[in-house]
Amino acid sequence: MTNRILVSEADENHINSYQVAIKFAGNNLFKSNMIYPQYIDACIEREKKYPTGLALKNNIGVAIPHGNPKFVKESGISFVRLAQPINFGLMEDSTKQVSCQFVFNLAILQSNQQLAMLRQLMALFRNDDFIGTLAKAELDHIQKYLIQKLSFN
Amino acid sequence: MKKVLVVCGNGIASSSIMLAALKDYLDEQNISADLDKASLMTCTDDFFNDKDLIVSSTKLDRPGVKTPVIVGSALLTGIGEDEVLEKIKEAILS
Repeated sequence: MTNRILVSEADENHINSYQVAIKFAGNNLFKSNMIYPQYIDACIEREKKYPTGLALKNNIGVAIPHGNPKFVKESGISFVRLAQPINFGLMEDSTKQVSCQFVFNLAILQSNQQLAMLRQLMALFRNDDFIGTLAKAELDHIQKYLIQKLSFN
Repeated sequence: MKKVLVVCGNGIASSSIMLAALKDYLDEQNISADLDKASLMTCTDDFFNDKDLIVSSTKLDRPGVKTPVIVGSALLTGIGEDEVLEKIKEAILS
């Protein structure tokens, strides 16, 4: 089983809220036929109640929005690098916020199948080289890097 | 054996990762526990109170829950992970 990895960059200034950021990321999943359109709203609704922002080392923030698996057709990730960081709620305490430059919109069918991928993603979050790559590298390179690290069986 | 419930928003991604990390740690420490995961959205207070320990991805604002809760998002980010694992270990062995 493979996981599809989509990579994009939001350099326009119109991304001014986490809702818009999730729509941007989710729209890429939709265009690649990996989700049903309802998935995007499901992610936004869930984010309101149970935010997914994570504070990593060196004040780096990432968000991992995801929603109900019943709206997922094919598993994978839509990664978005934001030119302007956006505030997401903090997972561990929804009354707090974390400024996120990187969004990993996860499309997950069944947790057990994707567990290896998710654990590997969390391991990458602890890796300074990885964060540096996300911040600076060309999108093609990021995609190859993520595919190599995450798309294993 | 202590019953430990790992919970997150929808019981899909975060709780699965936290559970796997916790299981690895407990195996390594030779500590046995009855591990399960669930969604915060669907759990009733009674379901929580039937457990000995809850490890949650987020702060729990549920006055009806009497079971001790440890916030375990460190198991995702790695920041403060050792302290959280130590706390969980103490709670299980107590």
